[in-house]
Amino acid sequence: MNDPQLLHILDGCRQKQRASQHRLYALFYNYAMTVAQRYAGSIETAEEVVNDAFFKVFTKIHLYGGDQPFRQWFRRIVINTSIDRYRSNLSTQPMTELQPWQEPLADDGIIERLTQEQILSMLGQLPPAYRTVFNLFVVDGYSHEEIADLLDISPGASKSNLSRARQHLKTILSTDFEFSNQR
Amino acid sequence: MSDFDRFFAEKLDEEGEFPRRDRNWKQLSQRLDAFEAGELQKPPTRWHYWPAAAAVLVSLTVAGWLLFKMQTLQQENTALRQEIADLRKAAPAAPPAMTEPGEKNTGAIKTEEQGAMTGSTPVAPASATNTAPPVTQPLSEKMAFPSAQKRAFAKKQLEKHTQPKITTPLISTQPIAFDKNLNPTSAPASNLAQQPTPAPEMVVADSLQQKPVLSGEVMAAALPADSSQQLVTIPIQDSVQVVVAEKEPEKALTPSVLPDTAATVAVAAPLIKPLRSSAHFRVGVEMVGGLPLPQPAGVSLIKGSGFTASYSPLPAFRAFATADWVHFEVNTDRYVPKFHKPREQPPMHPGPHDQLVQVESSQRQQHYALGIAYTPPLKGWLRPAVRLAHTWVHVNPSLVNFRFEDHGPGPGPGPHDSKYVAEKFGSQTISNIWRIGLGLEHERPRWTFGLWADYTKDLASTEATFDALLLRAGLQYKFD
Repeated sequence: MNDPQLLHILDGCRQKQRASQHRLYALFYNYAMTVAQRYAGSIETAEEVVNDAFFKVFTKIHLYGGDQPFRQWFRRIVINTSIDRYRSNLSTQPMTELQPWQEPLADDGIIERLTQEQILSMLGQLPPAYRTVFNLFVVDGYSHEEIADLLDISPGASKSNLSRARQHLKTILSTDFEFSNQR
Repeated sequence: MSDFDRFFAEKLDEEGEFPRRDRNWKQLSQRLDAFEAGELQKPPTRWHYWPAAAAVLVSLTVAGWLLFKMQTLQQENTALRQEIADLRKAAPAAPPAMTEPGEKNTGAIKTEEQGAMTGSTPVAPASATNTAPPVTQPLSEKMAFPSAQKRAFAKKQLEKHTQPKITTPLISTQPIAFDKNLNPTSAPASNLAQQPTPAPEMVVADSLQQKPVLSGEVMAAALPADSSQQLVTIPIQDSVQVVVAEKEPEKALTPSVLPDTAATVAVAAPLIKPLRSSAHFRVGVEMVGGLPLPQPAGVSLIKGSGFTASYSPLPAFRAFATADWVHFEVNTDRYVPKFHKPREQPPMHPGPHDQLVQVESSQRQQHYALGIAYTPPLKGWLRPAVRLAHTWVHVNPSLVNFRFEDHGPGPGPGPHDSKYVAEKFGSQTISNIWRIGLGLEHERPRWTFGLWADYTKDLASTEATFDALLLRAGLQYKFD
């Protein structure tokens, strides 16, 4: 659960104290950016999502009752804000050509050597729909039914998007990192 | 979950370090400021439009009441004019000898005088050569007032103007004393019972002339010559008696009381009400509209409403105070301090290639003024006036939105995307603003309608506000 220091900060946020809000922002900024960047695909967009999420937190802090860890409640807000942005950009998102299917690399050691930045870069190359489903299912632990509800798609479409996301990642992995290895 | 997924989940859930936290916090802080300012600025819904609603309600009520009064007065005037016209039409029915009381009608006139002296109804002698109706025959009620409505109205008028002053039953047959040598009180009471019932039209006619019947001379001076001849011979007994009979029928029919008709008439209520003396205090409402000078593109007209009060220590001078609530919209392509409030630094650019392209805000101000007004002693339906006042302008907190466009290098021609920065500006009170105005006022006994053109000059020169030309239309109630 929440430590006393966090509870004190949250009390200050409820009273709209700017100093408390600043402390909460500093405390959870990196965490929020980590979550938002997975969905946004770029740092700039993630920053906007994070600020939107914090804005929601500060203006709706009275809705947080303390029955669940604040980190969990906050993570959900960041994810929902990311999905809201994904929905609002649905009509303007460019269609992405899928790369031809390639067998994944035989050397699994390459995957283990990937850094977080490289993985995020790969994730950023995914189409937003695939990226969102992949994040929701693989990283954040949502079920296909929950993803279907969140994104207003069918569970089958969610499964399909997840499968294509995996294929796409493996293709990126095989092409980009094979090329790197050859060099 | 496969190893592939597990690996990605672990890697992606690692918390990293991200730069630009302080810059992002500053943006969020400004956004929160703006949000909180908007929350504070937003009044409860039910009070949002109360000044305008109150002004409209008061204006409508006053306008309705004035219309009703004007309509009533107009109807009354029309009825009175019609009755006068009817009376004048009826007058020629009298013999032409009335206007020449010398020869053939001498007997009749004499008889009238005798009748007046004796209190009996003057009747033309049978031997008279004049075949016209006797002069002393009162005009029939139907003749004077062809319609029943007018008769009722005339009776009402008579009652209104004579009733309060009549304290004793009047049954005297005394004609109105045309000749002051005639003693109207000398009529014997014994003849009163024999009097026929003349119509009250002449008294009505007298009341219609709006002249207090103080003496025969006054009446003679007030009426045309032919009318006066007729008035001489027409007793007012029954016209007065009608009124009295309605209120006190028993006393009115008692012949034992012989009041002095002339004296009674002399104490009749004055028919012309004195004008109310000029009131010292005025309170009212006003609508305000105007434009800033100079008016840059993107600044809307100024609109608002307010209250005013004044005190008049001297007839031509008034000390007044006004409080106006005004608002206007600003949507400019640059930052204009006069309309968006001054700031110490230019608005922050979100990025190095961003250019400010739009500034929006909704400005609300209160103008409080104290001054003096002078109204030259001119007569007319509209009276000009001038006034000078010192004004304090209270600028409300506002939210100013800045829109920037990225003009830096990037894909495609033209600006790439817009960024918004909202800033909250606090309230501010500015003094040393002067207002000089010219106005036209229409005075009524209780009300004053005014139309003013005020030029407001910012002598403080603080760049905090602007000069303006404001028009004010108002309605004021006067009282002592």
